[in-house]
Amino acid sequence: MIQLSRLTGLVLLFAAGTGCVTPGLMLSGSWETDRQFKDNAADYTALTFAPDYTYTSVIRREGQVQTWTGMWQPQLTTTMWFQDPLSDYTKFPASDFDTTPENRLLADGFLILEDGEQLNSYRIEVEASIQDGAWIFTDPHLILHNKQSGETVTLYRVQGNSTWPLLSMMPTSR
Amino acid sequence: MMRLLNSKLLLALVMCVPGCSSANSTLVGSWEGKGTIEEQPFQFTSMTFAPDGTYTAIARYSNAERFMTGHWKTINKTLSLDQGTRTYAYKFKDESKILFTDTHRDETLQLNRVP
Repeated sequence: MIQLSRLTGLVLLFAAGTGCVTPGLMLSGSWETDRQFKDNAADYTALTFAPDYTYTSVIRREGQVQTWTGMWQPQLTTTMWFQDPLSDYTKFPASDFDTTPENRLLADGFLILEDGEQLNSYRIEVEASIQDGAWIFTDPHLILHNKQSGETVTLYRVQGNSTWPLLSMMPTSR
Repeated sequence: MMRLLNSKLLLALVMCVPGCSSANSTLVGSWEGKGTIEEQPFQFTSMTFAPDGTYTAIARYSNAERFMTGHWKTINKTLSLDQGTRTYAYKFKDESKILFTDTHRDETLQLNRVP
């Protein structure tokens, strides 16, 4: 019964949190490919998304740099789900989970940069674990898939000075 | 009385919930410069500041374009990039225009808010 109460509280907290965590807030901040290759790799991508839906991006591909600043649009709703390796990676909504913690929380959505010429689907993945009875979320990364070019790029979050919204909405203890 | 105080405290706390509050810095967002290299040998062509203190900026020189992604903060109307590696005094002309002055070069650039 106690376990059920804790679980209910967890789900309620999660549901309360999702009310204010928009795709804009989840993506807000800076993301880049592996920083150690920033200055000399032929391919490098960096993006900063602001919560007012403006962005600046830098894409270096085979040594050629393209930069862009403009507006971006997320899909109005973003699907968040846990991936459970114990059940053949079955997707199920994060708000419905009722088992022991899975190892990964994901959020899927679509991203339109500028005037729709670059339509990307995106996935945010974050490693999830429980340590000392508290949820720990680490290593958020953003996987961008450009539907036109078919290219996929994985970007890592540039550590900022505030808690990432996805993490701040989660309860810190059970 | 106590209940009223508690209500006000609760309201204040709710307004301060991270992730739900509005951007707390007027620099947050994107800015674009206009003009040509002939007019100014160096210019920020564009930059986006995120509220978590990270940014991406594109700077154009006479013969090259550089980009930077890193951290920003402001102290006394001065923008500091990447722990003070670069500093710029800034002043708002209005809500959509900002002037950055490179104190080392004594050059001033105007950027317009996007959109």
